[in-house]
Amino acid sequence: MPKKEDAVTGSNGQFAIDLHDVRKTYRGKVHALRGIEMQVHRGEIFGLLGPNGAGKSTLVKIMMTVVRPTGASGTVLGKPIGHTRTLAHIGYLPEHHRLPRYLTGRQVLEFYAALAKAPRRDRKRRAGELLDTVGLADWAQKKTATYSKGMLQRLGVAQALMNDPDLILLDEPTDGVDPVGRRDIRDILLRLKDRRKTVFLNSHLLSELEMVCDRVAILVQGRVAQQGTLDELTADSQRYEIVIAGEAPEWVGEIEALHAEPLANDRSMLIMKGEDPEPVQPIIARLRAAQHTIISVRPVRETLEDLFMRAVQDPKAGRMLTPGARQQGEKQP
Amino acid sequence: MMLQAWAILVDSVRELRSRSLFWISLILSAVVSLALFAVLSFNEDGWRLLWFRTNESAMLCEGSPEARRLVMLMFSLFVYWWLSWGAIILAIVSTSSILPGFMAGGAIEITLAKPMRRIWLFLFKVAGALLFAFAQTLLAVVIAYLLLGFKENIWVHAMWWTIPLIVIQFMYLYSIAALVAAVSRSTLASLLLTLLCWGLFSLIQFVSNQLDKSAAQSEWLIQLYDQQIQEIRSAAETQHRALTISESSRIASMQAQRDEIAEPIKFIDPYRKPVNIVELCIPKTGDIQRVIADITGAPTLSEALMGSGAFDSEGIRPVEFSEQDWTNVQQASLAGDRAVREVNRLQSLGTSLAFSFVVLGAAVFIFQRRDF
Repeated sequence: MPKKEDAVTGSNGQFAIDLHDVRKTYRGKVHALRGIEMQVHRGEIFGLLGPNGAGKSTLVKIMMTVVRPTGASGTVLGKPIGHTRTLAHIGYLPEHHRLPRYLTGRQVLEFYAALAKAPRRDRKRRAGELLDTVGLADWAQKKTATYSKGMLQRLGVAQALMNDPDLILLDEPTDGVDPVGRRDIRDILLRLKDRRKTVFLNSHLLSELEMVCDRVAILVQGRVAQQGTLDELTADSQRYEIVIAGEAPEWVGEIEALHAEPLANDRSMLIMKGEDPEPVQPIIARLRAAQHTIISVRPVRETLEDLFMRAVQDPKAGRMLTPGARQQGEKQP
Repeated sequence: MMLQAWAILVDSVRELRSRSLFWISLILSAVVSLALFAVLSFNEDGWRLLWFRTNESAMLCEGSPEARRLVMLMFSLFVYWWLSWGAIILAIVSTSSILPGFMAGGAIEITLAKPMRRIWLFLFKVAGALLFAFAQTLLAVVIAYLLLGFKENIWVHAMWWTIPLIVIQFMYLYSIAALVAAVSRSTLASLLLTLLCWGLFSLIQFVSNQLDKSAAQSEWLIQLYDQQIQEIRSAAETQHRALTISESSRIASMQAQRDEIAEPIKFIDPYRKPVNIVELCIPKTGDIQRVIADITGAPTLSEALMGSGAFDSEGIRPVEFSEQDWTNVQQASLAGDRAVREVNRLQSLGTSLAFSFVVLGAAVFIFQRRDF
């Protein structure tokens, strides 16, 4: 792993994760990551999205020293990427994890906590607490070979929290978990945030992420396509939609921020871009004055799913940017 | 790091305990050891099997050197056939999946994300696998030591050396399993290639031993004939006379036999050195049994048979051999056995361990650099 000095970014105190130009090329051919720039603030829940093969897991594995980057600079918890001792302050749950089948749930937690250098007394105490938190207290003494997929996932989450980490990286934590379990995990994440812990989530479940994440990044073909708070990322898409009966009046074309779309059933929609409701008021007044029937006025913003779909589609070709696919006109790196 | 090392070793013990082959192997070790050392017993009048009647024998009775020699021969055979072959095969079969399982996708990521250097993680995991060989050798030796001590009053403290030596022998082979696992993460590849390498090493050692044995036997006989020819000549010189016709004829006959014996050596010699060099570079698994036999004072099978006088019987001597010739053949055979059995412990263990460390080093290097 590359050893860089702490002062790589000069902003270690602010960021739990501060990555610059993270690159990974497998066997000199497959470009999994093509220069990632990413910042995760301390104490926030950060979501990483991306289609399959976008490089999400590779990025997490690089931070956890499981994969060696082709090139990288930056810090994790203020230390250079690959700093072994920093791992004692990080909790990690990989995707499709496998826990030792010959151990009981409690033994699994205590074993991994010992590897994370947690003191014996803390291991015993936290194992009990976390088994209770993830709803496995009654299964503590049973071999994990007898656990269901959802139970293994809950145990995996508990495992990632055993060393009371400052940064928790969870790769698809709700994979295979039932709705109740998902809500439990979501609650755990929110409690961690309350304790000023940083959570880095890697998930396909956009609705889950939307509910808990402060900021998100969308990874497409090994690059960060978008990064920021949901408000920031959807600011351009915020608009007001006014539905009226009959055809849109001709003067709509005179107002730059306003355009009309015909709807079925002899209705029209007037779309006013922006999040400020003030410019909408004179439009409504003018419509009323012209005796148009206003059916509805509602503020609209993109969902995370809309944002994601927009980010992962090639705007020119109109198709999904799958792994290895290049955008129209893009040259082979 | 001690905390982490301890956690890995405890985990290894739990993993071994979860494997049925571990228990089968452990029970077999105990049963074989019990069967071998509890069945035979000696008293003042002779020896007996289990509870059956005593077979009277002045030679094989309580406290006799022959009785001790016999039980040590049994120990030697136990080490040879069970501990260093049967039990080790079971150990390799049972532990070959430990490292591939440890490096399996989904499992290794969690472990590598802990604050521990990869080199130590790998080496402690290997040490955990060695516990398999340690546990079963420990049990077998404890049973053998206590049974021989309390039942026959034969206390062989050197027997304890068997434990580290068998673990070292297992390590020779497990280092190969570790390298294959680091490269392929496949249990089957790890198991098959380890067994294949073991077979190859044993074959090379066997060929080398046979060449050394043949050379030693021939050299012993050549020396004998040279000595006898010299004696005849010296006797004639002392008496200030020429050789008689019969003496000349004997010398000519012995010279012919000597040349006949020297002929194969000329054939063997060009091959001996390269084979010995190859043998020097590989782990000498077979030497471990000889080192244990040396340390414990146990005889090899051929030594025991020679010492028992079984080959002195006229019935065994082929008709074309005179009594003297037959004695010479036996002595030459013993010289060959000695040449093979005399192991330079430092060289054998040193070069074998060096091989294991190089192979293990390569495994660690690959493990450290690879992505998971």
